[in-house]
Amino acid sequence: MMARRGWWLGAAATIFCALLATLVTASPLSSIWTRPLTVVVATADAVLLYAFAARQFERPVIGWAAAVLLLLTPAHAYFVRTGSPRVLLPVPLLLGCALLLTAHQRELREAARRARGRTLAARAIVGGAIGLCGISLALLIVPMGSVRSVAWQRAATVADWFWTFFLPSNLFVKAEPLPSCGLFLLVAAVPMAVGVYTLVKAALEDPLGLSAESLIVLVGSLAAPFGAAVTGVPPLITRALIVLPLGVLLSVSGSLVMWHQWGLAGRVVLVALALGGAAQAYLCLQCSPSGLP
Amino acid sequence: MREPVWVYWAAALLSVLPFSETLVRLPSACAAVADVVLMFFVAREIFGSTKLATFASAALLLSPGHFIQGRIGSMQIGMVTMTLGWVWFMVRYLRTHRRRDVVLAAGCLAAGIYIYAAALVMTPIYFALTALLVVRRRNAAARSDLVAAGATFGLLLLPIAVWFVTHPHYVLGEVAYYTHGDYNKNLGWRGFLGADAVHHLDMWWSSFSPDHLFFSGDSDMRFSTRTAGYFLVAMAFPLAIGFVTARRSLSPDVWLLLWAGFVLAPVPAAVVSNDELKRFLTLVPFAVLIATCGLQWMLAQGRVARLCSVLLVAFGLMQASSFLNYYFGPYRLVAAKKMGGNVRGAVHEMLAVAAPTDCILLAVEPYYFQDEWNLYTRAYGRTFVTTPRFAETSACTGVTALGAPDDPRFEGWSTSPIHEMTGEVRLAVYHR
Repeated sequence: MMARRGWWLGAAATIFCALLATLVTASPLSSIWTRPLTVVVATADAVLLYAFAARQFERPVIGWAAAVLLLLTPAHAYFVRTGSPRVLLPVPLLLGCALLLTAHQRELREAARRARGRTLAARAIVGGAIGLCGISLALLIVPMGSVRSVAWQRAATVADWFWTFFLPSNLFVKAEPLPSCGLFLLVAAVPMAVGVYTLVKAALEDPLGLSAESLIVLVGSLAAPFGAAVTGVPPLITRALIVLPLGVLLSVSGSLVMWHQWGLAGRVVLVALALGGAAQAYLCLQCSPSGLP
Repeated sequence: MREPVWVYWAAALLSVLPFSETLVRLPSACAAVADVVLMFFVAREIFGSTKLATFASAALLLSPGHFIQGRIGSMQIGMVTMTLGWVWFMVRYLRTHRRRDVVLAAGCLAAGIYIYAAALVMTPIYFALTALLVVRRRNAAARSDLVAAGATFGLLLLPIAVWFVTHPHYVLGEVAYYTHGDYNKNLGWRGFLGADAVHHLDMWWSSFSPDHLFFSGDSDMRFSTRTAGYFLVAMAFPLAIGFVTARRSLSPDVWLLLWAGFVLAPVPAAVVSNDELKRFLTLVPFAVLIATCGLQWMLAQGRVARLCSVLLVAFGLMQASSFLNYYFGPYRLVAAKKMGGNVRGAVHEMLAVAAPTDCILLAVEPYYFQDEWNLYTRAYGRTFVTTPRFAETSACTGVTALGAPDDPRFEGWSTSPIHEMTGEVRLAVYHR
């Protein structure tokens, strides 16, 4: 049932958002339509994240919690308030794709998945090595000094921007272009760190046993700013907004670990963080984005 | 007192060899060679393979970050030597549980304090890691091993502790130096409190930037060519694989030692908010060992993976050759420009034309001029009094001056233009 729901919701979201994206990029929107469209996209973000989280953690209530957390995330709230549907649209589009992918994945048998996983891992290693060698070879022996130098500098710049995106201060304290907050609420740092640790540990212990949802969260969190660094200039968040729902999923995952495995201390910390988060979200939402009344 | 090992080592060399530019580089070069040799023994201890040990020591030898630090004649490279000694003895201890090894490991750590200031931060952290690894055995022998290691560590630190207590102004001066100016964003103690504290975390994170590690290294031209990172780019792949596979291929204790060593290495950089490699050079050997783990895994896979590892090694060698060609070639042109021009040529010329009783006038003072001046006057056994002001030269019988070319103040003086390697003239030596 869950798998089938994922299919239709994912397919509908993908098609709807793809049409919307075409519309937005093809013709400039009038200011009258910008706000309603932003609200539609933000609602789609929340609904799709609910569906994805409910599937990943197999409990609808956690899905709702993730959706609310996304709406309270400073960067998401900022782009909703500034009426930026172009910046927000990749989020439901990619969440829709993720839903489709996980629904498809669920239907595969475990053994077949593992076998293909091994083949995929082997191919990824061989492909990565050959790709790296190819690039190195091109950079080292192709007799085009200036091209080589530009390519090297570009790679260095992209690597720098990609890494800088994950600076703790950018994620949790102060991020451009937000007026006074990081991309995520400061209190999300703790459960997010726990979530990352849990996920990476699971990935290192059994890379092929990782669920499709976890794989999407892990790879997506890294791929989004990388893609943004390749195609744009800082601040990368306008092209990498998809990290917001993925970061929320990491926080939710870490919160579950704290709630279930850390005993009373974990629950007390989590409640304190939730209260602090609510206060910070209120303060962040009070700060008007520049250019808004 | 802070770096006595370095001072006495240089003094010992000076007592048997004549002072020269080469001799100034010799202490760090010796440490770099010792690192490569030690890396061989450490890797052979961990992997039990001469082939992988050779790869590890070659990877360290060809790492641009380590190579440059080995040639610049400063003491920070000694931290790598001490860390490798510590890792070697710790790995031996984790295998054999012989008390002698953990005592020697603690001794290596303590010796680091006498080599470079960053050890004041790193040594206690690495000793805490040592203690953790020892107590994980959870038996009586482990407790007595820990006591022996702790006693050795404490005993070896006693002289410097006494010195610090009797020279508190030195400690205060060091603390003030590393919390103000270029360090710690000039925030003093405020930099460790409140929202500003996050900058330290940022600096720790920045130390692992792939840009620094594999593409451009440090931003300062003294420590980097800006065309290569701390490591060869081909090492990125086995390093990433090593992180994934080492947990399963190494014993849990050795993995914890390598992983924690790597992750904690940039703590000194984080403390002073300065992410130059010299602050966390201890990261280099841990990265090389983890990459060797990755290579070990690749070699154990099928034929295609083995072929890939051979290709990676080949391309690593190609990049190393490219880096060395640049380092001994065009880099000198670029770096000389950044460092104020052909200062060495200018000092040589000044020493050649100046009479022993001449006054030396510095109408310009390029970047790091004073260090080069001290080096070459010492190397040529000649001492002069320098002055930055014209007014002070009136009483001199002869004046030799360093200035910009075509400086109208030196009209009528004999002039020697100092040519850069490109033929350009940025400095001139004047004599009257």
